[in-house]
Amino acid sequence: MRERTRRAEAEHLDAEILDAVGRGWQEPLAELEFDRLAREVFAHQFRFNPVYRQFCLMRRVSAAPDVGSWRDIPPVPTGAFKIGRWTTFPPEVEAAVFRTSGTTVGAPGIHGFECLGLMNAAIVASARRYLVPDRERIRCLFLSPPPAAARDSSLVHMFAVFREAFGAPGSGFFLSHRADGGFRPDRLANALDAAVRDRESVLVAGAALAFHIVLPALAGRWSLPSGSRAMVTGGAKGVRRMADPIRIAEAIARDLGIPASHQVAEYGMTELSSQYYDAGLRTSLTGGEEGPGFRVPPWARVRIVDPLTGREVDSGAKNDSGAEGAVIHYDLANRASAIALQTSDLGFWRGEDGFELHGREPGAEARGCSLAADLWLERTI
Amino acid sequence: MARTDDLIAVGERRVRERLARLERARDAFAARPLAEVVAAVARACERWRDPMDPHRRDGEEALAAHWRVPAAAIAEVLDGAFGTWTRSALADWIELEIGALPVLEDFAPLGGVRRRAHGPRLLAVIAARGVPTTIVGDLLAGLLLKAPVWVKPASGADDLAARFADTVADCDPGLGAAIEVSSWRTGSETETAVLAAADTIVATGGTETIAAMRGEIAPDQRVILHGPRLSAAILTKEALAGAGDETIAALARDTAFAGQMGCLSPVVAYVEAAPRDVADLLGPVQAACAGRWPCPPRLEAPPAERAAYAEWQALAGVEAAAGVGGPWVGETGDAWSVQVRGAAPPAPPAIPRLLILAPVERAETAAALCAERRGTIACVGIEGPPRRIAELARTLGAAGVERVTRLGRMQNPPVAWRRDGRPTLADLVRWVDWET
Repeated sequence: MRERTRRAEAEHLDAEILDAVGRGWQEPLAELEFDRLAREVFAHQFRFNPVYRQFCLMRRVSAAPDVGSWRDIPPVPTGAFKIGRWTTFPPEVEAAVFRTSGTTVGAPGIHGFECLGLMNAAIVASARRYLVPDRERIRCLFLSPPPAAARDSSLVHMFAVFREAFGAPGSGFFLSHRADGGFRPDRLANALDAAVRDRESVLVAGAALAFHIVLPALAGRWSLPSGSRAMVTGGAKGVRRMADPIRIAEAIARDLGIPASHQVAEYGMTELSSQYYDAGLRTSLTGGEEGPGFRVPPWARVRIVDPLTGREVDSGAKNDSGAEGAVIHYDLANRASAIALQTSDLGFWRGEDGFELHGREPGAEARGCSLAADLWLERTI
Repeated sequence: MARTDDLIAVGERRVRERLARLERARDAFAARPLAEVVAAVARACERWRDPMDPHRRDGEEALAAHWRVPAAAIAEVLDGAFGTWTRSALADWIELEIGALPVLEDFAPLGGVRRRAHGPRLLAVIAARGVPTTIVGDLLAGLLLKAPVWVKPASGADDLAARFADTVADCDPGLGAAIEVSSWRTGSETETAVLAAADTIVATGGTETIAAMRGEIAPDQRVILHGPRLSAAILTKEALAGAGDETIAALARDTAFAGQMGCLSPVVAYVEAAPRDVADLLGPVQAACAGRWPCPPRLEAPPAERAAYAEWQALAGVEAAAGVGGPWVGETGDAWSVQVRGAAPPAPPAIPRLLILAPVERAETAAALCAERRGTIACVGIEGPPRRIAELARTLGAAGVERVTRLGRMQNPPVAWRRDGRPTLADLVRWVDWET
């Protein structure tokens, strides 16, 4: 009976969230709508996730109505995903699991999904807006192993969704998981040659460290057709020294002929279902008016708070930078796990509704979906 | 007097000039007797042992302001290192690792043939943020081998290396000319120029820095990489039953040294006691650590530390809710946190100034846990009866632990300690054998 109730509630919420994602930026969720939906998702999680309920009780939230606004939802630290199952549904209905990289000394965090519909919808909506706002399909060259070789990587899953949603013929994954094979520069070089020969624009996408390792290994330079673009993720997650974002951007421009205006930064993590992008490419292509920093999709919210007082820091004025604080995420697409996530990522507002990251603090472990791929790369290339 | 402000990136125009100066100093070095060099280095160290010396006094004050702790806490760090760098200890160090002092000056009989040991032509020391005196130790190693040294302090680090270089120059201008302390930007032409000029590089840092360094090594360069290391403590039941307060004081001394920034500070103490009894130690251990390194509370920490603390605190709540975490102390108004957790291999602390107390039935469990991190455990400090320490030392050694000592002595390794389980000077020289 309880499971039937849970399932009915979940289906109802998923339908509403899917509708919100589908409306996207055309008819974005108003603040009141987001607030209502966020509190309903919280109430669902409070009811069906006993660990979260216990956590909330310790935070003096003893019932869902105690939360008067989405801002009051107790955020779950991302490290909690390493402790038990952090889901609202029973294990037998689990559809997919993604794992964080963990560290050489720590267990990986586990993000379980009852279904991938919400996540996939969020992936496609954001990517369409910020990566391919100008065309239906594009040839995608992913600097990652194929999905079959990395089933627990949320990053690779995202690439698989890209391929399905807007990948043109010739799209592919150019890293292998095979211990004996590793990265074969000739395969990627051939794909780049083909793009030049066919005059076909491409999207080259991967983790920062993948670019850092792959580009020198290619030992060549291409002038990819106009309209080609790159998506780089994970440059701020503990790999800054090795994969300095500025040097990577220069290398992408120099070796692939993709100018800075066509390089997009993406920020995501295994514990989230939605992603953030900078709007640089979209602005270049469509002349839109979105400001700097990572853009927050309408079905999500970000708060930047003083870590110890929880008070929101000042946001930046237009084209200005605000004060620094810890980034807290609210993602409706995380309906089946935890809607509010507390990270120790430091960020600040850029202008009115874009934010940027300062990277991770010394001592905190590096983690994230991209780093999982990064670590894989370190092992195999 | 050098200040942190001076440690700005060297302009690319000036780097050649400084490298040329170091090259000239190397030629001058070659003609000087080693005993003279050792004496000059020892004189500079002696001045840093003297609390009334103006260089030491100013340095103590500046470091106290940098680290935001009382001067007495800095004095303990300085005394811990400079106290051991005496003339005889430095000479013994060379003899122990190189075999004999004369081989650093000319061919000399050693091991049945005539041998000559050459120090680096230019030693580049790339430091990480950590215990302030570590970088000075690397500098001394170069000077004792008659090598000019370019020291690159970590970004945001204190300026002890520059201050000590000033003292060396004050004691012996020739020796002072063989030292350059300045930084550069990652990926800059300065970095390329210095690393290309150095035939030997000693780099300390996290996994990421070390991995990046590996990619920048030329085939003819010798590179000594000091990656992340952790330490642990073992409190036997006998130690707790006998002199519990002294044991806690010794644990705090080792843990709180330099704010737990060094690899010799334990991150976990395995305690031979029931979990409930271990929980009783939380308050006393935290108070003892705060007494030894009384830095400002978390509330006044930089945003990065506050964010990490907030996440750690929230996570502790989740663990408690899930029934997997133990009790802990250390609120936002405190500088130190101590937590009881189930025994696990030593792991990097989630936040600065955090000590884990792990109850174990038998101390030997600690050795098995350290074995899971073979090659990364720098030191284990033990408090207990000598017989048990001896037994545990053998087990820990077999488990890959690089140094075992008594609790309370973890921060006082001898001059010639085998950092990372390796010799220091011997790793830096190149040998020439002359078989007549």
